[in-house]
Amino acid sequence: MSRKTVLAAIAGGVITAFVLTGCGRAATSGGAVEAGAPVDNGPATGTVDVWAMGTEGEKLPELVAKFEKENPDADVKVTAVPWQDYAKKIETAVASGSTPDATLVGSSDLASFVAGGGLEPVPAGLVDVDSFYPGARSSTEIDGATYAVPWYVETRVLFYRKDLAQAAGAKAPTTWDEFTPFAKALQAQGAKWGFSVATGAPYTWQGVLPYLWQAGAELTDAERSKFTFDSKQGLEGLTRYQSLFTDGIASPNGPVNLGEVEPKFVSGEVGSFISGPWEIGLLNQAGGKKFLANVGVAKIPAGPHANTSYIGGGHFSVFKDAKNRDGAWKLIRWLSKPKTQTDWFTISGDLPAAQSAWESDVLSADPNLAVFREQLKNAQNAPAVTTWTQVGALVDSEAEKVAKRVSTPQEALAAIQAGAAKIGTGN
Amino acid sequence: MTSIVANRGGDPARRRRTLVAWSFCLPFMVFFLAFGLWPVLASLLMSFTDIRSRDLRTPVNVGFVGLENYVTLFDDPTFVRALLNTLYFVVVGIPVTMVISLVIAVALNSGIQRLKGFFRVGYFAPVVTSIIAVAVVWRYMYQGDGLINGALAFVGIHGPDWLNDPVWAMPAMIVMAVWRNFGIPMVIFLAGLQGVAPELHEAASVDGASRWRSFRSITLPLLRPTTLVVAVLLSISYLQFFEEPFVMTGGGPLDSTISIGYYAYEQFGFGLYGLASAASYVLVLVIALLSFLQFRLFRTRS
Repeated sequence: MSRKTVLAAIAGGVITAFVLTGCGRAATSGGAVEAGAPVDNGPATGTVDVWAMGTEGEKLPELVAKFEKENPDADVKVTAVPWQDYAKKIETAVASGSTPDATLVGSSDLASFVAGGGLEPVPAGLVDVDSFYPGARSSTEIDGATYAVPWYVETRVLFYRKDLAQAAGAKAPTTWDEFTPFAKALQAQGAKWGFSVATGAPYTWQGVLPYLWQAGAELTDAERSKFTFDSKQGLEGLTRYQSLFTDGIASPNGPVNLGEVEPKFVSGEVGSFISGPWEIGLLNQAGGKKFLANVGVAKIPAGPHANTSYIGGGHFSVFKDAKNRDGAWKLIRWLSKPKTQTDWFTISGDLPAAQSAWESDVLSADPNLAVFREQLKNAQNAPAVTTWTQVGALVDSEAEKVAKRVSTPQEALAAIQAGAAKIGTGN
Repeated sequence: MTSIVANRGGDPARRRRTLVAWSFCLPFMVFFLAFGLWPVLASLLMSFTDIRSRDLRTPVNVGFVGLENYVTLFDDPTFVRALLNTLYFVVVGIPVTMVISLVIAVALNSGIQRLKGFFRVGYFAPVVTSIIAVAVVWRYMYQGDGLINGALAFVGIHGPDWLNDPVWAMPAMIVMAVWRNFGIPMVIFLAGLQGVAPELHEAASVDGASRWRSFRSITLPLLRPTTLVVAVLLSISYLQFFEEPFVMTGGGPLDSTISIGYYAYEQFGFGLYGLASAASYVLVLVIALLSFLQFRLFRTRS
């Protein structure tokens, strides 16, 4: 065959492929999604194939051994998947139809998986949704149906150098107005920066949006059908974020990589920052057990509206293509029980999503955990819309412009609103 | 068709041989079509549709949108920035890499007599290191008070905060990429240099040519085909510039190190498969164009 014939053949093939596959978007069937079919109360049977990420994946087998003891006919197979790129793995599994039965899902990613269409709604009456923290529960509700059961939660609180604060005679701040002099006092005690916050790295929005919430902003309308970033409160929040840099409290070149802030906090270069429950372990690694005595933990300083923090965490979902659907839901029901969640805390240190699990002795004794418990009462999740990954990335890049003073908060907020409106909520 | 085949392959033994030959080729053909050609075509098709993550379970139930994805791309200032950044990286990075690898190859070929093996291994080592491990070290070196600024301060230059400065982040990426990539061109040049007959240099020196003159008039012209190979290989890998921003800067600060590859990766992450495929095909087009130009430029004049 000559070269021309080959090209013609390929071109022909492409066109035929288009015609044969009958490309064209069929009208999507609207209507409310119902809850999944109910699951009985009998013991679980058969093999349950579960994916779990990161440390959770490594430690989960220890927990589910108890489930297997209570359900002798069930065999739980846990596959540990790294958090990096787990989303692509799940999407690939859904596309090829060869999914496990259940998977752990990061709370802010759930909506985009629901959009992929691979997840089954939670069966009616499987768990009491009101037993979980409201922020955790609301991130499982997408398009009027519930697609996951909360398992563990995490929220962000203020970590500060207690030794520097004491030397300055400063108390942990409770409001925005108290926070600025507090951070400056830490700087007077030798910290180069009184505070550290992300400025443009992926997931910067988790540090920025709480300021908007603290000022009282609602980021979407009640139906989650359109974004409403450009409110007076939104502007107040973003202006507050910029003031961290204009006041010289925080570096406009915030941490880009995980593990960047801890050594600086230990060395005293950074006086305070906001992070989650895993931070105590990381600071123990970076500074040693002795250093932990210098670490103060406090609730997020309140803005004009509230002291709202970000809530994230892990949920469990079941795939539509699951081979052992009933077994998977039974396992998830067991995992969401307060007693199981307390056991899981002792194994992993993950904070229980079920509120009553916090009554147990192991959780109520620790003073640091008490701060997290208080903060969880006022913690909000990212808007549960299917396009959130994209909108979040937009917030990241506009926040960077605000931090580096390339944009004013007004310009950035207008750009976020315009971009988010163009992307849409997917509803 | 049948009549032609019948005429040509009238001899049954011959026809059998053809059949056997094709059956030997078949396993390769099947694998090539399924895993080589089909993904390439499928992603080209995807770039003309509005496929997103929600269509994963029904990949043919998507709308055909023509060139809309490509229009969206060029309307997006971030993509235009990514395109310009990629060209900047290529236009500066390739000549620098080629000159450095050629100089070192020449030095290894004729200059350095002792410890030749040691230097060869040393210069090649960056190629086989893992980018993740190396990125950690380079990040430390690029810090405001890091090794590089320390060295610069020694000669009285106040260095910038490399990775946080929108102007200097890209040069920092280029330096790192050159360091990581000059090993392979160096080896190719070395092979090319060893193919230059020493008699030619002897003849030139008898004619009274200086070493520089004989390098320019003998070595360089004879290295033309080698240079072409190096240029094409480098432009393919440099246009796919992705790992450095991915591990070092996340495309920042202020999009100053975002590349087409990184942009496409982000769009895949958002589930916008159509747009991401379109961005990838813009990259394919640029690679094809640049390779074509290079073939023109370095073609041996006969």
